[in-house]
Amino acid sequence: MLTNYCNYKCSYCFGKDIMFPKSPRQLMTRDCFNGIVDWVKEGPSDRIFHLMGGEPTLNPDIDWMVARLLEEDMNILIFSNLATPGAVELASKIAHLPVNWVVNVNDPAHWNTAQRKNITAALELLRERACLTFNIMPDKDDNMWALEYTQKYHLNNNIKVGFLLPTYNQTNVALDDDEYTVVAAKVTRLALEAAKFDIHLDYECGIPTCAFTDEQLGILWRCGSQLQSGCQSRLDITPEGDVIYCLPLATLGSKHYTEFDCYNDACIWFEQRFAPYRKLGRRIECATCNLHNSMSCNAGCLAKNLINCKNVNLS
Amino acid sequence: MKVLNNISWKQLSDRVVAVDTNNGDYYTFNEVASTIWVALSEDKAIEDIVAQIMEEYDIIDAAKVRKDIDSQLAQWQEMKLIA
Repeated sequence: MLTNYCNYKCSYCFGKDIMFPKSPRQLMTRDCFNGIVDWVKEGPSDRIFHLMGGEPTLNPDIDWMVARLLEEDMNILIFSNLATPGAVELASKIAHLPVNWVVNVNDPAHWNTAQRKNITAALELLRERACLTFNIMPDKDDNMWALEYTQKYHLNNNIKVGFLLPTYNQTNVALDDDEYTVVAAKVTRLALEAAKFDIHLDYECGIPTCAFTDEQLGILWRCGSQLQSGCQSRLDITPEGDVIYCLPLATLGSKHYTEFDCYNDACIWFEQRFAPYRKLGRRIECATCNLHNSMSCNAGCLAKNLINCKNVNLS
Repeated sequence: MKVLNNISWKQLSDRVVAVDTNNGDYYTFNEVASTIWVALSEDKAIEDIVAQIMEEYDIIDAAKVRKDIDSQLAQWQEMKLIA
């Protein structure tokens, strides 16, 4: 996380517990970033480094940080809403470089003039380097705008969709249990329509397989948008260098990255502590579900499953 | 008696699921056991739990209910879920 500040204040933000203004405003420094790069670079074999926030383009050092990662031959993924002047500036500097962007967007009908100007200018620059991502809401929006934008700006033809997930402290707006099937039906309709334009859906974590009917899962599979039901976060690191398991679980526990020898040690520490809790599941049926027991489905979002759970303790 | 701190648990509709965070052992309780477990976690006295079960399940034999609850609690103690 290059900053915990965001130009948007989305009610459904699952990072809310550690974002400004709930937490003091933070910017990752160059020194902290350097330390983390050295700590991470011997870690995951894919060497993918996610630059995120808050809104990462609000960190004035982001172009220096990108250059630093390219020196290390790291693969870079920037998670940005592109609605800042800094995003357009960065896109204009690095659009030709091997840096991919995951663009968090809402329905364009809700963009103001300045946001629209920045987002469209950046998309124009980034083209296939950018893929759209957004939450499917249980409302009337059919999300067809995402297909239009993907075609109009020649964006990456994979669109990443998610469900509204809660933070552990339930400080944000999230789906009610009975809305899961509503959203699953909308995902299926979007996948069907997207396939006509050779656009496919990917999935954010925390989507339980049982939100979908067998028929819907079959449709997704046939349109090249097969559901991946996972809850396996890459570790997140706050602007001050604290490692957390994932944003919705940020308040449950953190350790400074310097307390671990390397990234892999941190992964093992967090995985071992959270593994037992994964067994609790989302519904009573998870106990006897073959998908859950074979780890093909993690029963949706762990943060959601830990809400109202007694004796949660990571120490 | 109390639920041990290493037993993490929650209610899913009318049932309790629990996991031993020390070893990953996982438990699901039936509806009556779940009622006893929740009452125990609320620090209710055994006599109050007996009364609750009799009322909720329309049972009139208090001695039998008490015996069943004692048996359940003994089993949970042996399983190291409560102490």
